[in-house]
Amino acid sequence: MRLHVSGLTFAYGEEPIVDGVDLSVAAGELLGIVGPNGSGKTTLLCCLDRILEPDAGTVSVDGDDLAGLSRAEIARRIGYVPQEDRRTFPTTVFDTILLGRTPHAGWRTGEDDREATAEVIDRLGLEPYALRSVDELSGGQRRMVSIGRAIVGEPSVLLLDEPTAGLDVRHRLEVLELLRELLADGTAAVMVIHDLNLAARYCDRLAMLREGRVVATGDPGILTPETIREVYGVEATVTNHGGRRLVIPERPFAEGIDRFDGDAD
Amino acid sequence: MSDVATEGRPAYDRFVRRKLLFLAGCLLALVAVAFLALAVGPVRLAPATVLEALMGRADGTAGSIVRGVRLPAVLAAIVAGGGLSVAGAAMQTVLRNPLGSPFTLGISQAAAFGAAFAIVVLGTDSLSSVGGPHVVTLSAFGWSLLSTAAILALVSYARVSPETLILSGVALGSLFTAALSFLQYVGTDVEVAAIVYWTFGDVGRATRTDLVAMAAVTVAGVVYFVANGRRYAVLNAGDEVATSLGIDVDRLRIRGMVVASLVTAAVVSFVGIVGFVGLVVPHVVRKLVGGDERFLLPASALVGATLLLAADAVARTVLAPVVLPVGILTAFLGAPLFLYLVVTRRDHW
Repeated sequence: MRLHVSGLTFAYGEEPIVDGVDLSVAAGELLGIVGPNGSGKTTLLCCLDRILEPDAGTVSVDGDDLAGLSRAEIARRIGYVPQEDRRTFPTTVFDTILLGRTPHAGWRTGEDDREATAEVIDRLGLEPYALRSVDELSGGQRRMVSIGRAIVGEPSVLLLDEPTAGLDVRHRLEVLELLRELLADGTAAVMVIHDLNLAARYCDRLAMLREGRVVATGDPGILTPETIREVYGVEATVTNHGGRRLVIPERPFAEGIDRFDGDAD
Repeated sequence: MSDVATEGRPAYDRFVRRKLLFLAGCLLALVAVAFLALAVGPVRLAPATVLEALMGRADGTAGSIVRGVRLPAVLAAIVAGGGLSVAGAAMQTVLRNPLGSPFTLGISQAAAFGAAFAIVVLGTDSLSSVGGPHVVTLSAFGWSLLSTAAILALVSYARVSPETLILSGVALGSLFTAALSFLQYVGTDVEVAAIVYWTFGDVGRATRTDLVAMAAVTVAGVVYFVANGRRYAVLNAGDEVATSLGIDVDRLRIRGMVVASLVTAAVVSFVGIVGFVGLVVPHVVRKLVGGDERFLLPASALVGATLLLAADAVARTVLAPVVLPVGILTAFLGAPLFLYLVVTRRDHW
């Protein structure tokens, strides 16, 4: 197992946001985290990367417990793709992706850092935009740049927070196709995703999260009317389409919407 | 793959080389403007005379004008302009706010209050000879450090978010402005005149010892920011991303704030308040070479030094024989320049 998580817990004050989560992801595997708003998906990702310090539980990458590693050592093992890139002052695509070499570079960037950046830019098809400012790019291209920044450091584990949010159909498919290609070298990935049909199609395994707990985990076959009802409070039809799960949401259960506490993720 | 990959590299290398060339150009411009500033003034000197005076071979008058009067002011303008600009660029990055400047955290206001405190409460006449100016300078420096310490204390209770820092700075700035108004209200005519005189930033005020102290703090600050430019570039990518890339965000932010505050305090305490340089110069530089902090920080220092030096030369000659304090001129020029930047490039605000 590349990534192993056990008993991970994180609370803001008394309220647990992530509550005893156990997960493991093998080399080359893509794990999708699905669940309603406020179920703790983003918080879980942040705890995996120690952006937030968990209150209990362990996360280990290739057998190394992250608790015993420095920030830079964690950064060399895990790449993080945020949901939205919130930079105040724009920089070029090349410079943005080059930042991803920070865990490897010392005080200055070296020849190999620039070489690795150029290769990633080529791999992501961003060549024509290399010296363009990031804020001149489309949403899909900006997402590619964020992914590029995360993979240029050659991490063992990639964490992605809704990489398809805000993208049109074509760009969603392109981002996910690219992600599958990237995992061919044995990188393990955990991805928060809202679209259940895309999750079923592209993820090897899914973990369904509700109120910080993993309700169900396994291959996309765990998407059943029962689990969807339990996790989302939604009545859904689940069919097969070309061998894949297809989820058609029908209507919310009246008693299912007893909690809608915000947009934490 | 490597065929195409090698195409992006030369383009990027050329892009970086252009930026390095820009830095070299800035340095040349600084030297040229410095030379010009040594030549102009109430007594206009020929370039050859300036050169001779600099090498210590000029006759009495030219030598003492260049080395005794103009050189300290030129050096003070370089140090103050560079220091304020690098502090402003750093504040904008650290606070992730285009309005970051040496004034944002209330440091200048605290320094002005400190100077007034020495003049009114300690009864130091800044014109008297008995260590007067030093007490005013020390008081200005001390109060700006106190203001910085107060902000650090405040943010250590709350989470160190850029918003907390800015709001704390604004609140402290208002507090010191109010305290300054109070001192001006209770002060005598002479004291109020001394306070007002102090607040007009003037690089000609710095003595040789002042210059050494100010330069030591500023150069150390510039070296710190230039050496850590890469880390500050990562900070600009957002707190979560910077953390995921191995940066201790809170520590880097606090360090940047402390160093920028020290540089600002040192400059403002010695030369008084020079407005808009720290705010405008980083934006001008961003427009010219882009937002990469590795180049932004050193380029801001060079451009800021050149601009303040040029502004001082103009201030000394525009209303000759009246010599204007450069602080008045920068405020006059800075505001329209800033408006121009706001209107023509709204990318990030």
